This record gives sequence, structure tokens and C-alpha cells, in this order.
Amino acid sequence: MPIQERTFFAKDPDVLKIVEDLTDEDIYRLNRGGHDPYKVYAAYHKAVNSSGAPTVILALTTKGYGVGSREADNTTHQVKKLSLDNIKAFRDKFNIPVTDEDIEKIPYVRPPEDSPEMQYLRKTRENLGGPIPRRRKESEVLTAPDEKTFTKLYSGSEERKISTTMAAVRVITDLLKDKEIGKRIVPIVPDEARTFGMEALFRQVGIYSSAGQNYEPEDADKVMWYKESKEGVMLEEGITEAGAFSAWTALATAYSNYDFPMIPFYLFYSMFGFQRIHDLAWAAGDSQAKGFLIGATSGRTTLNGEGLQHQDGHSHILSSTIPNCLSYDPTFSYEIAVIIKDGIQKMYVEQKNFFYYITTMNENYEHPPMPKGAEDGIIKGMYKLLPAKKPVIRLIGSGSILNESIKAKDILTNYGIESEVWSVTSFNLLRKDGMEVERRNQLNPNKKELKTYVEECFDDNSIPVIASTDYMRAYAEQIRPYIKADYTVLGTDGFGRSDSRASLREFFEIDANSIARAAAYTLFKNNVLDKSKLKQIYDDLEVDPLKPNPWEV
Amino acid sequence: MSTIKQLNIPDLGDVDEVEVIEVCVEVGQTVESEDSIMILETDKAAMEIPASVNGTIKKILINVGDMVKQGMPFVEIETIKEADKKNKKNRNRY
Repeated sequence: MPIQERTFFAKDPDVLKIVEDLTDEDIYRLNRGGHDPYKVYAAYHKAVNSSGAPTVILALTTKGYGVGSREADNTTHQVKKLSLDNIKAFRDKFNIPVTDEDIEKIPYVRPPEDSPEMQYLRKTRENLGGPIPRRRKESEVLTAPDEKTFTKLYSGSEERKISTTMAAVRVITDLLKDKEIGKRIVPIVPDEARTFGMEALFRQVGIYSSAGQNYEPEDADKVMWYKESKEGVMLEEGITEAGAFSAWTALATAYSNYDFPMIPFYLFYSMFGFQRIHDLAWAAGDSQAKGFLIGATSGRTTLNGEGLQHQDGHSHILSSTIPNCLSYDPTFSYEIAVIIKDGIQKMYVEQKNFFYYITTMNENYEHPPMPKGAEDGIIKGMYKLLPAKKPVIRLIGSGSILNESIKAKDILTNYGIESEVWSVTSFNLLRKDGMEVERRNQLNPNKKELKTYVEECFDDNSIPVIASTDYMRAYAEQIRPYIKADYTVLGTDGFGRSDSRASLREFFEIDANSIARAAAYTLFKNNVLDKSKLKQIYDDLEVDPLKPNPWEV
Repeated sequence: MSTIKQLNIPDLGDVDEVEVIEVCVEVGQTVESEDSIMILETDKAAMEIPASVNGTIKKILINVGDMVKQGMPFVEIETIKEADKKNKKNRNRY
């Protein structure tokens, strides 16, 4: 029976008629669609000229097409080297002008400039804007925004209790109004705009909608009504972090792709950040994206543990895996202001290719005025917040847990123990600085040894340090190599749970009492406290020696 | 023709009393309907309250630190008739 009648041709009498005269050899030579330029062209032509629905093109191909005996061979993927016969078969199949003598060297073949191939290639690339896909490294230098947007947060909140999320939204709102760069600012949310206190932006700048607003919103009579418009600025993506992050990436790479720098701020639940869109974040980093990611309701104890969305004790660890992502876990509104100000300066004025990940919380507390000269430390990763005359211990912390360190200082003072408090805005940046200084020293053994920033800060490196954050211990552990004294790290290893902030912090042992306990124990081990003093402190703090381990319960 | 218009605090949604944290205008300043007169702050959000009419600020009736609620007068604006008319056409939205 001829091949025609054994195969799919036979299913349709009309088709069978077309192929009835073909030999087996002819049929073998019939090209698969994916290898036939005419068919591929026709498919694309049809796709480009159809409308109303997306088009899927299924291209049938043969694995190892054109390489002789390896064609349609199941093991093609394991082949590391082609035999000379296979290469020759490939040459013959595609009429590549290389002689038998030369082919062993596998030379490059370049069609002459005036050949149709070369002319076609050149013309097509010309239509696409240039010889190769390129990445614009530099773009328009933007003017730094009005200083006041940031400096007004330097004086603290004056008894008002606000959250760092509110502080960040205030900065974004003011930036949107900035005469110079206001038009470049794009706030993006996947959802939760109201949770973050961004509803005022609905009316002020509007939500972008390609169709405008074709309905009367139910809150049209409210001051913060849900305004969608074609001129809207804000992007409200619906509950899709992948979509929101992709929009962020498009804006964050606009400086390179369109020579038009944009400053996107993507605000999301920090728990639904990197662990949900890490592939896209990695791609954004690789594309040298610039912009701000704001991970709100961050930390594992920030919002009464309502469930999955408030268990972020690791987003700073995930963000640290992307080389050009600078991440910060600030506590006070002036820290946020300094970080965003510096970010705009670095990314859009100095044209450095970073993007920023900043975590914010929804816990309301008073924000003090910025200590004099703190800017540099805030940007580098830490600064001294509360000094002491003769400190015997240093309490360092970040995010909302810095406030617990501040309270722990008061507890310790009751026992005559003097402590310093340091705000660590970024353990990730301290780690990067440490790695760089270590390798500089190793590469230049004959030069004067450089100090890491941590060593510079802790000039008296014999004072023990207690670190506390709302993140897994691994986050603060990163700077252990640069601390020469005893270093104790507290953190939120383990699953979160539903309870009050105070209970959660006690559970994870990052509350003021636990920090004071860790400090007392360290001082006891260092012979600064005697046994009876330690016992007194433990008794007062009601330390439970049988308390279950948070990451195993 | 101009008229003096007293503006009351609009419907703020799901909040009762809120604090005035910033007054953005001065007496004598001209404002357009979308310009912010003051900023209020709740537990969660800062809200800028727009002028909602074009005109000149005649009197400011609140101070930073005041607790205010819906319906309270907060500013008097001398409106210019034409702009006012136009604004009405724009529906009474903030």
C-alpha cells in the first residue's frame, strides 16, 4: 500500500488526490510547516491581519532538522558533538558554500554585501531601528524633585502616630505634584490601594483606563471617589501581582527602551512580592530596571497575623538574591524620605542602574525628628539612633522591631546597664559593603587595610551586639563576619500565627523583654553581670525556661 | 460678579473625626477647583481636600491640629461667576 493511503492523507479524499502522484521520496521531502519559510510567512501574515482575538501558531518541526542521521533522533538533546558526516549533511541540505577541505574547521560563512540575503538582513534591521537589539545605558537626566517633599518629613510626626506606609504614600503624593518630575511618577497597585491609604490618589490623579469610566461609581459623591479615566496616572491592575509587576518593569525600563525615564512605585503586600513574582523580578534586574518597589504590611508580626498575607519574614532575603536591587527596612518617616530622595538621585540623576525595594509597615507610632547628620548612615545601612555615655551593649534593629530595641534600652537602664541603639536600615547593604571591603583587602595585601562600614561604626569592637528584626535570623546574620564582639541575632523564624502584635513578638522572642533578656545573658557570659543580677533580671522578665521553640510549634 | 462661598467638609467615607495636619493655602490666594485646601489624616490615610470651586481664599476657618468632621465649614472662597458656572456643568463632583 502506498504511503499516501497509510497516513493522514487518506483521511480526506481531496488531499489524497493532490498527493497521489508523489513517490515516497517526494513525500519525505515535503517540508514540515515550521521549516517552510512560505508556510511560516503565510501563518504570520494571517495572524497579523486578523483582529478581535489572539492567534496561536502551531509550528510542526523535526528535532535536529537538517543534521543528517541525527534528524528526528530522540537523543538529539544529549548530543554534545556533531559528527563530520552530520555537519556535511547540514551543509548539503542548506547549500552552504564550504568545501570538504574547509569544513573540518567549521568556518564562518558570510554572504557578500551585495547578496540578496545580506541586503534583506540589513534592510530588516534598519526597519527595526538598528543593527542589533540594544540596551540604552543612559537616558535623559532628570531634575531632582523639590527638596521639601523629603525634608518636611525630617522633623518627625510631632506626637501624631502614623505608619511608614502613610509616610511613603505622602512622599509619592507630593512627587506626583512635582513640577519637574511629577509626570514621570506612576503609582501601581495590584489591589489593596485602600489598605495602603492610597484612595486619595484615585481622585487626585485618576486610575488609568483605556476605556475611560463608563459607569457611575457608587462613591461618586465622596471626596475620594473611584475615578477611572483615559488620562489617569495610577495603575490598578486587579488582583494580579504578575500583571502589576510587568507594568512596573515596562515603566522601569522605559529609560532604555523609549529613552524616556519613568519613576514607577509599585506597592504591594510584601508577602506577595518576591516570593510570588521572583522570576519577573530577576528579569527586571537583568534588564537593568529602575524604580521603586514598596513592600507594605511587611514583617512577620506587623499586622496581628491575620493570615498568609502578614507573614513576610523573608522578603529581604529574597530581594538580596537580585544583584542590582537595593533593599531597605526603615522604621521612621525621615528614613523613608532620605532613601527615596537618594534613590531618585542615584537612578535618575546619576543614571546608576539600581532598583529599590523598601518595606513599610502599617503600625502607627510617633516618628522622632532625624538625628543630625544621619543621612549618610541611613543610605549606607546603619546609624546611631540613641547614644550612651559608657555603653556595655549595642542594640541594633530594623523596621517596626527597632522600637522594641528602644524599649529594651529603657528596661536595661533600670538595671544600670547602658546601651546604644542603632537603626539598621539595610543588613543587605552592610553585607555588600563587607564583601567588597574583604575582597579589596585580599586583592591589595600591600595597601592599608580598609575597614568595613560596620567596623567603622563600631569603632570599639569589643561591645557585644544584639540584633532584632521582624525577619528570619538569616537576614541580620549576614553581618556577623564584621562584628568582632559577641553577636546575638533574634528574628522571626517559623510560621506566623493569628494574635496581637504584642503576643506575636513575645512568641517569636523579638519583643523588648526578649531583647533585654538576650542582652543580660550576653553580659553575664562576658562577665559584666554576675549571677544574682542575671537571676533578678530573668525573674523580673518572667523568663520561661520551657517556652516552646517558635519554628517547631 | 462674585459671591462668597462657604465650603463644608465633604463626605469622607468611613471615618468620623479626623485631624487637620496641613493647611495648603493662605488668605488672598487664588485656587482652582482641584487645588488642595488642607490635608486631613486618619489612622490609615492622608486626604487632600480640594477647593471644588475656582476663586480666591477669603477666610480659613480651621487650624492645623483641629479635629474635624463631615459638614463642618472650613474655608470661605470668593468665586468668580463664570468659572463657577463651568464647574457646575462638570457635575458636583470633587
